[in-house]
Amino acid sequence: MSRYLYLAVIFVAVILLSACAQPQPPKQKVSPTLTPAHIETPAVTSKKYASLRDIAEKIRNGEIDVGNDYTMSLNGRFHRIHNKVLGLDCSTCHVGSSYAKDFLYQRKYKVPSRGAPGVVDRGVCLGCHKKGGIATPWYGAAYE
Amino acid sequence: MKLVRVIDTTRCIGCRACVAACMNENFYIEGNPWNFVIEYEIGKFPNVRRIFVPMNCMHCEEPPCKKACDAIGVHAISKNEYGVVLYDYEKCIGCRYCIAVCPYGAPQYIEKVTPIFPDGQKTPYDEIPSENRHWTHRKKPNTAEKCTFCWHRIEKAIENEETHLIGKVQEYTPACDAVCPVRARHFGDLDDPNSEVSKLIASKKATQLKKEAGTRPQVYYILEGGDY
Repeated sequence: MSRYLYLAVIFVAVILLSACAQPQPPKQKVSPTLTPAHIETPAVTSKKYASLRDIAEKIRNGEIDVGNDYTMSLNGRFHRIHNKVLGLDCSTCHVGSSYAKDFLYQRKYKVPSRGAPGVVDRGVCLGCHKKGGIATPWYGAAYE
Repeated sequence: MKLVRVIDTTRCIGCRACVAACMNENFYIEGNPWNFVIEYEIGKFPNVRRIFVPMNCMHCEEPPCKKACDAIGVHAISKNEYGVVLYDYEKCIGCRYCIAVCPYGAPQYIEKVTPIFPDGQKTPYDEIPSENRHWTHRKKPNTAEKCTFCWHRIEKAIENEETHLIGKVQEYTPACDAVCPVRARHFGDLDDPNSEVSKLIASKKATQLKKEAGTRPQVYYILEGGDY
């Protein structure tokens, strides 16, 4: 008797599970040239989340308030923009306390400021601040 | 007129006469050299050589320090028709943005103006009152300073209408270039194809440092092996 009851319970459970299961969408044909519609392209995600370019523009417009403290202190505008608003980690710029041996840089022999986590290679700045970059262009295009 | 400097690292012996001359000429503040010599070794033992690279402000054609200063509305940095980049101590607010953006580490921040002697005694130079100095030497605390290509000397040449003698006569030539004992430093007009600097740049393939920054420096270096 209990065996029949056990089988009946399993039968009911199978029916319930099959009823709950969602119908699978038909498989899309993947084109080698077109991105499938359900995959989010960078263009789609950039509409959801503000890109660095948008944030940079908002800082320049004044939409994002970064203060008027034009100093290099941690609460100053410079560090607030790069660290707090753009979310760059300290180690993004402060490469450490030592320089490469061929690093032709005048302040190499100067002790870094007290409390500073390390020196900055200006090559890091080039990524965004060169001509055509997302940030205000301090640097021109590389040339021969 | 585009004033440029050419430094021949193949001739430089690292004597630091240029550093000393600059300190004397430009009211040096401790820890803030306008001119500095970096040295490094090349080759493998036993075939090694020491290379000396005197560094100073590159007076870039597209100076990032000026761009940063202008962007925040301070306008303390100017680039004149002779290609010289100058800082105005009266306008500078000491934000150090110029220091942050310079790829060559040229600008220096003045925390306080102190005498060179450790016991606080003043040198005859220190005793010259600020108002009696050339405006490029009226240094103030909480401002930035850097090499001026000895603008006070160039200014004299302009006043005397003898710009053709810049780089040729000692009094119209930057102090560092005038004292070099091995003629590793040259100064002159790049717009003049017959000037010494033009000929050196052309014949010795002189190059600028950190060209990837696109700042177009006006200090050229003759390097071992030519351009890179």
